[in-house]
Amino acid sequence: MKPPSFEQVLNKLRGQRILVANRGISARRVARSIHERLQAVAVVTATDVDMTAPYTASVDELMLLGENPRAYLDIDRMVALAKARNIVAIHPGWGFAAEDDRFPSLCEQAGIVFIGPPAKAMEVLGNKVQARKLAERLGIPIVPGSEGAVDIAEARRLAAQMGYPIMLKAEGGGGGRGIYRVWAEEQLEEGFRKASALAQAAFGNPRLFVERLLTSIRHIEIQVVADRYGNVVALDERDCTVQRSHQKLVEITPSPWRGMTPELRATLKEYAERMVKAIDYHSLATIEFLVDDAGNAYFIEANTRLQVEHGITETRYGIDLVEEQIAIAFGARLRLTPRNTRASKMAMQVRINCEDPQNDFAPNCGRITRYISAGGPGVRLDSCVSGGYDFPPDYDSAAALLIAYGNSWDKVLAIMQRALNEYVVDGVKTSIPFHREIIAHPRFQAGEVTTSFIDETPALKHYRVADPEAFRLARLVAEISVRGYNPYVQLGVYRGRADRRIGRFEPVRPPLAEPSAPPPYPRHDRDALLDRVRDSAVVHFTDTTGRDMTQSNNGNRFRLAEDELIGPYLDQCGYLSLENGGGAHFHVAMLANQTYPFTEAAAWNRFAPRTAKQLLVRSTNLLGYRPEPRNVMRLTAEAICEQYDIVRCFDFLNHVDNMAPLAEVVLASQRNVFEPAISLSWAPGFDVPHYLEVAEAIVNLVARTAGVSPRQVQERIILGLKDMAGVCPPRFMRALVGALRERYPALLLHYHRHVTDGLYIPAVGAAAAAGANIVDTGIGSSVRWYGQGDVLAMAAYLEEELGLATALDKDRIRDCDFLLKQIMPYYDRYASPHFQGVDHDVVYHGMPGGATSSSQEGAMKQGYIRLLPYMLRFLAGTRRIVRYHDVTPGSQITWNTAFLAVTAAFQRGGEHEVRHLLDVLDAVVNTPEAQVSQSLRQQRLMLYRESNDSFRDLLLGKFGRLPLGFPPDWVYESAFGAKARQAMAQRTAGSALVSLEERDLAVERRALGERLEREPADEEFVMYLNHPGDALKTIEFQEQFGDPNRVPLDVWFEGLEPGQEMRFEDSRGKPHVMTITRIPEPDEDGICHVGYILDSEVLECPVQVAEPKATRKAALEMADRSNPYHVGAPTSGDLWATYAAPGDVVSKGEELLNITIMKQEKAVLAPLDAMVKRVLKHADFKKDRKMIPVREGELLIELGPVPRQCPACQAPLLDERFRFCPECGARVKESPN
Amino acid sequence: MPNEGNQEGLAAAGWRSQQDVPGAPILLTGPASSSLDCAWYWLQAGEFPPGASVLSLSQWAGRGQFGRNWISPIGNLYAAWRVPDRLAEAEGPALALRMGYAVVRVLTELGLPVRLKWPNDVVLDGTKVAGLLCEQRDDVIMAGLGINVVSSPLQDDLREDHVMPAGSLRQWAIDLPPLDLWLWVRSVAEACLHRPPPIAALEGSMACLGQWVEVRAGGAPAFLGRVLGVTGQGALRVGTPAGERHLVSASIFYRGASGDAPQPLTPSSRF
Repeated sequence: MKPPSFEQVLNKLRGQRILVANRGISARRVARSIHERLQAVAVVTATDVDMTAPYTASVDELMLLGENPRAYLDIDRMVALAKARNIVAIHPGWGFAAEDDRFPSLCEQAGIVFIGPPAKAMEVLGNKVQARKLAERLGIPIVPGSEGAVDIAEARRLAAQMGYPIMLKAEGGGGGRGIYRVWAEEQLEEGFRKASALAQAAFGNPRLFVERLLTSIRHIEIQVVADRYGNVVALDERDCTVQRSHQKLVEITPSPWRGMTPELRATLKEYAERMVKAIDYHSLATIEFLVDDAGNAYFIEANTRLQVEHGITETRYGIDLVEEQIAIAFGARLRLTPRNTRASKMAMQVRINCEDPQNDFAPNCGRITRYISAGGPGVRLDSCVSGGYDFPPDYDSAAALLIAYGNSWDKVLAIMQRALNEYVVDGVKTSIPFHREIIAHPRFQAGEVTTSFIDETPALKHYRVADPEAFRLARLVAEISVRGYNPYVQLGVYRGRADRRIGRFEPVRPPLAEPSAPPPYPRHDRDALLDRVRDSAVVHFTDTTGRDMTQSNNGNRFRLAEDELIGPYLDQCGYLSLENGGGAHFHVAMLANQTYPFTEAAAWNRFAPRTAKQLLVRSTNLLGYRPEPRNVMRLTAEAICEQYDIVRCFDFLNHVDNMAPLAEVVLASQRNVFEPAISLSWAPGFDVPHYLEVAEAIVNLVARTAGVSPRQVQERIILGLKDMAGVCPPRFMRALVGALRERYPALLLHYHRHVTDGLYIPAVGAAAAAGANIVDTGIGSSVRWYGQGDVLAMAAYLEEELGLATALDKDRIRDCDFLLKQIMPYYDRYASPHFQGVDHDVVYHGMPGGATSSSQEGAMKQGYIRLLPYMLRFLAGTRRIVRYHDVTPGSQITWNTAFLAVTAAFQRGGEHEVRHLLDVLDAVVNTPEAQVSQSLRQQRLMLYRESNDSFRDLLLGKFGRLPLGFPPDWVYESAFGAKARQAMAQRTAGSALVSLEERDLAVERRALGERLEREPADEEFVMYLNHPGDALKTIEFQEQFGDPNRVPLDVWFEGLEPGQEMRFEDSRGKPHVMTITRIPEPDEDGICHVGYILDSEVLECPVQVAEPKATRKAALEMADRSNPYHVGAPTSGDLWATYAAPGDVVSKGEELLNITIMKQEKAVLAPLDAMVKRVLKHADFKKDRKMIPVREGELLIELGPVPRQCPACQAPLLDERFRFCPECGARVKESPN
Repeated sequence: MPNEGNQEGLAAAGWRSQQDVPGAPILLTGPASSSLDCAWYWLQAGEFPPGASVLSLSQWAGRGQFGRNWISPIGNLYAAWRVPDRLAEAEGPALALRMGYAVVRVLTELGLPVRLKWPNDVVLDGTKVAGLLCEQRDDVIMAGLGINVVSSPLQDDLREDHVMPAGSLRQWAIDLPPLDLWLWVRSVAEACLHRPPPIAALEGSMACLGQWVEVRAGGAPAFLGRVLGVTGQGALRVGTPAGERHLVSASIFYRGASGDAPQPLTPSSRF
């Protein structure tokens, strides 16, 4: 009878029901062909888990299989259900029961057409052992190996014959599973036992066969289509060489390998046809080969079903294999002939799975929060996921098959790369970034890969997955909005969502024209700059709004974002320099504003390019908190010199030698100006002659370092005068500046003073009148209590009261002031110090600038506010005993000493005791040593008994030489107690820097690189050297959230309310819009799922706002207490060592794992003799420094019964039914059941 | 395996007690792998009743947390104590904390300004002078205690990520034979376990109370927090911007040089 034509088959099938007994990608694929020309009804199976999965969306009917996820394997049931529903044909898809040879028989019995090969043919070709036999019989080369399952003796013999390495393959395995490699004879014994046990556990069949393990091979397969009439066509090869653990990841047709010659192709096709023709086979089949470097091919196995990678063949030829397969099943003649089936395209497929390649390909499941599919020319996509889909854990991890096709290999690579970049699947980890690495790899592109490519190339896993910055910033805004405050600025919980807002920040910016005149001061040329200043007859100004002003008054919370608003105006005000960095600002830029300090400095030079930049550094630490060795100082100094022009350096002891390393670097640069500064206090001993000596020491240091004469020094530097607390009265400044001016007529003097005592204007005026060339001021709107004074007021006083001249652009200053006025309210509300106001007593107690408020706030928080006046008195007294200048870190040391002494006294005897302490202190200060009584001598020892290490280090000279020498001996007796003699012997007056050992920069850089998992930028390294903890936090913050300066000021502090729209730009200047749509109550895990719209996407972001309410026991597998084989965690804690591995045989009482909780290490012991079946959690703290938190009752290890042992040779008997030992042949009693 | 030392050797090292020893047996050994190993060994042999303890002259495989090495030359105290059953079951996770507190009590009475760095490191002026490790198998808890009486390891010998340098009692001019020291500690420990000390006392002895510390818990990223105290169960209370947290298994690292008195400044101090 003539076979029906394709059209006839179409007619027959139209409107008929065809069942796809599968799920996911294969179900959708087959359903598509059913819908197209066949125009039949596609019925698809679905278990409860899959009922609403994306693949069910476009099918006509579902065959519901109920709640058992494994129901796709129950072919009897599916066939019965199919029969009841008048289904005419069943397609098995791939996986599950697609190669179960009972399936075709069952269908036949039920009168349903099975879309696949007949049972017998499936059995022969599908069974590995039988297929090998067939190939051998047909003269097709096969991989050397055993005929069938073997015992260990046979395995040993064969292995010796074939040579190592070999593979032990589970007979019941397939698709790459159940393969165990043995590399050498010594490993065979144990390997065989283990592989057998594993096979038994995984497939229920412990039998193994042996195969030679070929290395340096490619996996090449041939697609064959055959009809019932003996017509067979073999199509071009698919190269599936890129695999991992024998799982295919990338498939390509034709093979890009240069060894794939037309001859080899023809040979493989011929082999494939030969095999299919030899048995009564029809439908699709794939014959798989391994090909070595020399082009030798070995048959490994055959697949008797539609394959995952069929799509690339379809694309290459422009055919529909599924349609063909269905037609053939219904008796149509094969339409494909060599004449009409011509290959035209090159095609590549990547398998996109929900796995995390960086975590050993661990499967991921969860909700897909964003889904943007790839498309465009040359792209074909077969997926089973969509946005919002909750990817289930019950099945394999395949999410999509992405195919790229084109006319050439280069085009295909480019399309695939582009498509992978477009394809967005968020919410779960996928293999998309891993595939990008593969496609980009030169070996892959050259077609020179083998099956071990992935294992050999760990670099493929080194990628970073980062969302575009706008998404990351949106998450930051969500976090702030949910809480109502920003946790990252380190200001505590300063407001909540319900508090009143200041409102949206929409600043009005005065117009700013391009300046017509050239800048008044030259930049990047030290000599030109200094000459310009010297030659002018005006008073010059440095603006400190960017650093000291906002540091002292707003705790350094002023961000680069706001600097960027006022910076362009400051640039045109006629300032000599803008102080925009250094001091505590460097550290806090990272700690609280999560900004890279040097990037910030570079940004300043972009938006304010005309004016010189200035920063403040400490002598021994530069920008860090502890003295640094020379090599670190040098590196930091070089980074500084790149972005800053004037480098002001101070030492709180005026120990000038400490400045030497910095001086070396800065003086060597023609572009930079070194400004050593004298720290000023006003007290007995700290008089004009004293400071003249300090100045001389500075001049000599510079002379030595720069190799010039003291006279020439005057033209090289600026001398800074740093009155950090604002304590020196006008008359003193007049005298000091006058004396300096007389001694050093050509030396530029730069005066820096704080407003704290209320005498800023007259003091600065006095200095200027006496000859100080440059003064520090700030913009009026930012003036508060602890920074510098206002520039316009100062200028007015200088001009109108003192008759001096200035060269400021006051209109521009006013413009800047107006803008700044709109910014300050936010900082005033959220970043103001707790205690505010002017404090004239600073001249006695000497608490400098911004430390005034924070120290006093600290006292308040500790509950000691009532003792504050006593502490300040103690400060005042101590300053007259241990004399140095109250700038960082000196001010901290003094304060701590006062705090500790006063609080200790209070604890001893209340306020009475404190007053007594202060009386003693007063007496000590006011009584000359010769008249000190015996009792006072005794009592004064208690003054410094409570002091801490820093104070003692100061006394030992570890910070440097005290400016007026060591304090009296009794201070040492008081601070060191019994060790006073030793301390006085040890103390030194040398520089703190000499003893510091250089740090190994190469090692540190490597450590940073390891921590970041990438090469660190130079800037990041300098940040890290100075402040490792905060540098890491800042780097990680920016990786997580992006540049926080992109967030508008009000949102930064207050967040957004639902319904409010926020416009912002990302770091590339692209505009974005974000609106929060809802902020619900936290769920029972304490997580609030904030809903928002970003540009045109609707997104959700989980934010942890509270502790989880209930323990999530449902997600963990709990140990069944009644089951003796379940080993659960006896307590919650951290698992740090797991000693057992699956397959191990353990005896009762043996330690399986260890959990630590509060330094108590609990050993968990085996409850009985058993074999380890499953290890659910594994930890090895010694190796990887990671601990795994576990909950009480959680199942950690599942044991199983110990396999019986042969009484003669003790080998494990893996199957209960054995009557004879497979090792030694001894008779074994059957186990009683 | 332990080797029982001879009488002369033990006497020479000052191991003979000045007084009669009441209560549970105390076994003395010469050089041993670890006093904990000896204790478990004798337990298995049925010769280690609750309350028994063993002191080793020196250890060649002394144990710290997570199998780390505790350097153990002659002269220091290395004790392993089987915590009496009635005291062990009452405690749960706070047992380790209270043992540490007992050691602090003893050393304080000797005049040393020691502090307890949570959970049970005994620190003295920024150096660690004693370490505790409790091991549990089934229902038996062995408390291992090492006190640096005469010597402490040099900086170089300490493991790379050690938290702080080591110190010894001798550096503070305290010279007490290890056996006498152990007797004292044992009796105070029994008292502390029997009647748990008030939280205020525990907190009062804490090293970084009120300080900002870096907290590393298991595999989670480190975070900064302020030490607020301990809970009734011995968990550490830490204040963070997101609220107060209670930690049971974590290591804390603090910023200040010494851990004796609380530092009043917050990290955002302005100057």
